[in-house]
Amino acid sequence: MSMRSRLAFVRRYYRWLIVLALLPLGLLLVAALIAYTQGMRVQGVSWQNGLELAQWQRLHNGCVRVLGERLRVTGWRPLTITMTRMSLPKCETGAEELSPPPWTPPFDLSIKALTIPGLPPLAVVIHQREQRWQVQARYRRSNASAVYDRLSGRWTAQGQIQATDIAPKLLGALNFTGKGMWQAKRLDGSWQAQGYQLGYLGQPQRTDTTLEASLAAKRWRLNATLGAPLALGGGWNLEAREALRASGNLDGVESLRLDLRATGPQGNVRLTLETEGGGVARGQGRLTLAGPSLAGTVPLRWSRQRLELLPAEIRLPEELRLSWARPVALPLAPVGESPLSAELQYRNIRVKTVDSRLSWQQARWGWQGQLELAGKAAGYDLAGVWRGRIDAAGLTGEPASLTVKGADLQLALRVPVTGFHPPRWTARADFNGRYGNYPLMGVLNASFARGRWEGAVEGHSRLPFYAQGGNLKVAVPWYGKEGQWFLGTGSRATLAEGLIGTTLIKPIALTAATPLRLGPQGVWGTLQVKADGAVATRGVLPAVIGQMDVSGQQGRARLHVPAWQSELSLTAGLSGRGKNTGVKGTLELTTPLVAAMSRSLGVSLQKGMLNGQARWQWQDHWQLKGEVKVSGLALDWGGILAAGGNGSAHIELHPDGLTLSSIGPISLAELEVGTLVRNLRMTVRSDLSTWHFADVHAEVLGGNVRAPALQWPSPQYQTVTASRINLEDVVALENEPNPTVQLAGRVGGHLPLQLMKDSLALQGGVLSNEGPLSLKVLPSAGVSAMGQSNRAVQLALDTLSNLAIHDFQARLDMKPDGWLDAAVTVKGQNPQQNSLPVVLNYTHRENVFELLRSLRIGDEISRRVLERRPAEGLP
Amino acid sequence: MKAATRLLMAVLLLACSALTMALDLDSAKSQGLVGEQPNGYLGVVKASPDAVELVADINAKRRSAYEAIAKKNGATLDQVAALAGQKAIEKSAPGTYVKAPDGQWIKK
Repeated sequence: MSMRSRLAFVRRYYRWLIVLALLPLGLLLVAALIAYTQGMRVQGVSWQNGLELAQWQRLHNGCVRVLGERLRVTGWRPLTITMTRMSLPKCETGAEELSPPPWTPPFDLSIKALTIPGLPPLAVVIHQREQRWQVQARYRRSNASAVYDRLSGRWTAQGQIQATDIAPKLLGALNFTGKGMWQAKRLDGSWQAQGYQLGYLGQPQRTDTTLEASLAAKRWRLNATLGAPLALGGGWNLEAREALRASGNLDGVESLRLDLRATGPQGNVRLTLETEGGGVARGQGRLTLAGPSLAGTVPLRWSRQRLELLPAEIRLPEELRLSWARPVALPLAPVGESPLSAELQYRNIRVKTVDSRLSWQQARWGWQGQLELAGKAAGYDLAGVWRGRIDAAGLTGEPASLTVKGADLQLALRVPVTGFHPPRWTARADFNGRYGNYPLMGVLNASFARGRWEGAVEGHSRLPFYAQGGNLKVAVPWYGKEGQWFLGTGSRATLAEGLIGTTLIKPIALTAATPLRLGPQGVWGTLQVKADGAVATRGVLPAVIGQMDVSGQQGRARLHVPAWQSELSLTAGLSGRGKNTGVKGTLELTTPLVAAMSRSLGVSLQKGMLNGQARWQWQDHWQLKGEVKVSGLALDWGGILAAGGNGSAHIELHPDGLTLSSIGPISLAELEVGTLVRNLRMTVRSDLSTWHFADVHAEVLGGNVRAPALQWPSPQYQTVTASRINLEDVVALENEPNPTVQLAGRVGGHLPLQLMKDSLALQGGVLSNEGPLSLKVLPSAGVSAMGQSNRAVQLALDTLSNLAIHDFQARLDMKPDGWLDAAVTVKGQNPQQNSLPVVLNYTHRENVFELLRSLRIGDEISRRVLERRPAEGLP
Repeated sequence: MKAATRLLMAVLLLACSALTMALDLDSAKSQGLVGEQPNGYLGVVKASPDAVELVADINAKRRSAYEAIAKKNGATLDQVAALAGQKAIEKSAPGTYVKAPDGQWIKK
């Protein structure tokens, strides 16, 4: 055909050509119109090597029956479709007719994830040729296949379900087969399933099971047997004491018979159901709980479409009690609703709901209503309320509120539930209140992520026994893991600087060095302790660092004071229960004794070592019993020096005060009080106000002093025995390079002393010679001058210049003010004057305190002190 | 010349620091935060962190001074401190707090 003839053809038939060209488009429009009337809706239509729909869905009576994403047509003969995702949501349309699929052209359909309520997402492939459908579905290691011939109505199915695909810890597999007819809205068939080696990871039991089911003329029948107890996890086993038999129609159950018994560590649960008679479609049964943590019986009643739990109270693990006063109906139909009034009790806490609604739709449960909490815990009144809905999608409703009230604590918590939904459950609770007069506020965050609950608590308060400061801050990450709760590493409680009385407590920080596990019996983990010390008006406690291991209701701390090189080990544990709850433990202290510890003492420690062990207890008051040992002690009271102190003592701290008693003698190698006292030893008993000394012994002035018992302070005169006092040492006290008098020999006697708190007195003291004594008045300028002044004095000096004494008696009295009255009788001979007998009676009055250098303070000291600059704070 | 200047500066700084400390103590006394006690040491009348720190610091210095005097004179630390306390109470300015023998704080 030439070009001209072609143009003539087009001019002649152009109307028909236009119609022919528009025909496919029209057909496409008609198809789209029909699809639209059938409820099909599409979005994101495009063409990329084939038709592509971003989203599509099919509506029926306003409900989305089918929903798909990323549908691609990759071939037309046969029609080949791939789909990324397809869902078959449930619609509330009641029971539906089971219509077979309609006629379709041959097609291949591949769905990567088909979501059907109650099942995990399945990978599905469907082939259809000549109205013969072949379906294969797969989920992890489980698979199923089915063939349906639409022309004959026959169907067959088989497959294997791995138990681990249902739950990771389940073991075994279930093989199933089925066959039947499906035509004209009628589905008939029979199914057999066989379970092999079913069990639970970690439990040795394995069992087989069989299940047979049939559906014919809209009536169904089910028989199931369990060969041996089936492990359920957690130590629980399920035993079928007889085969499960049930039958019914598509409207519900008509007959039912089962006897199941579950046994576990908490006890056992037995469920029995029976049918009352043929054709009545009702029956009764019993749920019985028994064992160490379970108790109770629940009468049951079932009818065609529901199971009723008659009023009962049951005891559950963890001291939980559940009760309901009105029957609770659980629907046995695909859709149902029931009022629910029940109460859950934990110790003195009750959570109840009245006339809430329990609903059921296929596999979806829902609850809606109000929960009210009331009770008492740890001495505090609790009250709370929440109104909302709980279903598989989570919680919706008003924020929950909870109040905690007690004599000293008032706390209000508000918990929004908007974040309580899967997969990531989140909550943020604000708490606000006061403890005593001090504010207590903070935030608790919680979320469900990575398969566990986790969150953080941040709060602040003030400790009540701080007069100023003492702000407490807590920052704690927390999480749950394998049924246990932990506070994360790095959890921290810090106590800011503050005042207790007139003592300034520097900041204290406790930091978790390991996760802290929380349990009903306490806390487990390790904490680092860092205290910056304390400042008192007369002393300073340097920084303390250490570690504290807590184990349930017990703890052990090892603390170190680097500045003093002191080590303290402390254990503590709860004792008693209820009103008798207290704390007790042990204490071990090892520390050198250093001058820096002396700031609050009247003595200055120079050196030494102190070791102490004690048991302590607190229950309404402190008690402590233990032993301390001091070795190598050196100290001074200013002008009095002591060295070589050793001793052990038993100490007791109780409500009436502190008592100590030495264990064996305590000893002091040297005590310098103007003259040197050596090898002082005694036993001591004291309540810090009265001191009892026994078996006192000391070496002084070449002799010794002893006392069987002394008490200080005491108004009584207590005898101290002196013996072998060397008179040469007495003369040497004068510390005179050229003494005018020379004495020799030893004296001894009894010195009744009155030891008052601030004074010393002597009454009726007697000293006498212990063997011969000698007295020589040495020549000196002073003696010569005295002799030349008076002849009688010269005679006396001549007589006394060299005296051999065979009898020396001295009577001594001293008043508390220090004035000593001495009456001395000396009998002897002067060998230089032909053994001239000499008797000398001598009285003397002297203030001993003024004599003793150690007590010579007065104006000079006052002047020196007062002349100090005010800048040094010296008076 | 430079050494003399440095010495002069050091003396001036020492004097200034001493003056500051003195003002702090005087101020604390005049505000009724601290007072003298018969035992020779300062006490806290109205507790505050600054008052406690100040008193602790001054008491440490006093104790060192008392100890030196006690050693030199053959007396005990408590004897020297008690004597000094007696004198300090006598010298306290009217209106400042002193501790009575019964343990009560009274305004002089």
